[in-house]
Amino acid sequence: MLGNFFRRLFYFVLLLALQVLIFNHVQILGYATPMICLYFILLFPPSASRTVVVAWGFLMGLCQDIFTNTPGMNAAALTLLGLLQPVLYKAFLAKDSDEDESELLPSARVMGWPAFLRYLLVAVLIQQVVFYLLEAFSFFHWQDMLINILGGSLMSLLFIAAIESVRIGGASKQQGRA
Amino acid sequence: MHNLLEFLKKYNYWFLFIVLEIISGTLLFHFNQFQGSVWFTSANEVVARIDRQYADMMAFIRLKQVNKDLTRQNIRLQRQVNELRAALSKANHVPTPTERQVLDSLKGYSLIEARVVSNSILKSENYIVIDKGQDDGVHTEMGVIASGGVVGIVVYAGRHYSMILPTINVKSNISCRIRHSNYFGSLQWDGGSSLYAYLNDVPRYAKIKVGDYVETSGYSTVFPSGIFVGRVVSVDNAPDGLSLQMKVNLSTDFGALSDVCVVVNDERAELESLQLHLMKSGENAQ
Repeated sequence: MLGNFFRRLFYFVLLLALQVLIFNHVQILGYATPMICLYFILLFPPSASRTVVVAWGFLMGLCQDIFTNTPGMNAAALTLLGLLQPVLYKAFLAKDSDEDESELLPSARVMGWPAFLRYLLVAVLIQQVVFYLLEAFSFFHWQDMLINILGGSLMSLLFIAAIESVRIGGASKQQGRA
Repeated sequence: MHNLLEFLKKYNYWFLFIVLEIISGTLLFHFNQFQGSVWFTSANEVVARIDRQYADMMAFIRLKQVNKDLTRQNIRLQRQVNELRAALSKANHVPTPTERQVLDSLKGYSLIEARVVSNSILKSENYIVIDKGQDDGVHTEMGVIASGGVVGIVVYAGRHYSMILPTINVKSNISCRIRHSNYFGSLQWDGGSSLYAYLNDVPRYAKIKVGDYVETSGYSTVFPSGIFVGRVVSVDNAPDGLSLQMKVNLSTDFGALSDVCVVVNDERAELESLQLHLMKSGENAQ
């Protein structure tokens, strides 16, 4: 239980650092900033308490907001994602799995890449749409917003899929050694 | 009663969700009213320190370009010095009225040099954080300029870092005038490109050409008058039809901002107390 918590904290700090130090500075033609923080929310197993997922989502969003001067925007988007994550995961997990579903950690290995990418795409779209709608509250440029949402989703999808493939690659090596 | 408790227990994550979304919304809509909100911005000490490390690293990477620019500037300045020296030897030593005027406009102001530690140009509400704060003499509502021209106004001064509201923020509003004609208006930004802003509220009968210089008016105590802001690119009627709206090409390159100066008005306290005094006496007279 405690080990679980520390592993989660490690991922939290690692993803936040990556986001703040690298990905916040990535822009293609001034649009499309990848948002990889939400990967953290996607990794909760169905057995995790939904209260806990919502709280972690808020915390992650708030930490990112502090760095980007966007008070509450990321926090609102990731809190919503925290609420929806268990539902999304159940919806995209293949029904014929024999193992106990509640303990399965979401990953491309468990779900298969096509299902995992669909799961990722929906999550990324939800986060980007909420974030840019909140940003547009004060000022409305709908063409810019659309390009930002689509570009940002594509970039996030690409980078999170890359991180996922590194993560499950590393895990399979560890299993091979054992 | 029992059912109600069961219901609350089962769906407690919904309540947490609603509470957290309300907190997010409060942060979002009351950001500028909260004095304590500095904890939630990048002007907070820890975040500013991390940003500063990043800025230092980027400055190191950019050194080559900076060197090239400095060399070019040096050559240009040396040439200028030569020309000026030649002009000076010709000219009379008694200062002309214009020279005296320029000296007078900068009298009473001093400058604090600072380095930009974090910056953004792509959002509609951009903020800049610099590495000088109250301990260095920076206070809120001081003007900030760079070598190119006006940058913005200090909105929050921490102990070692301060946050600036730049011209390219939709909340920014700076009083400007057209050089040599004294028509004035307010400079605002529409959230689009960081290269252009708009000068509003200039009377329709003002004769303004494309290419005219825009400079600060000096009507507030924030900036001295005559600081360069940009040049007029196009002149149109404002949407309300009562005034002119000019598109201004800003002289400051916000995308590559690294060294700025904070303008300190030494006579500001005096001027403000005088204005307060005037207002009070006006009320008494009524």
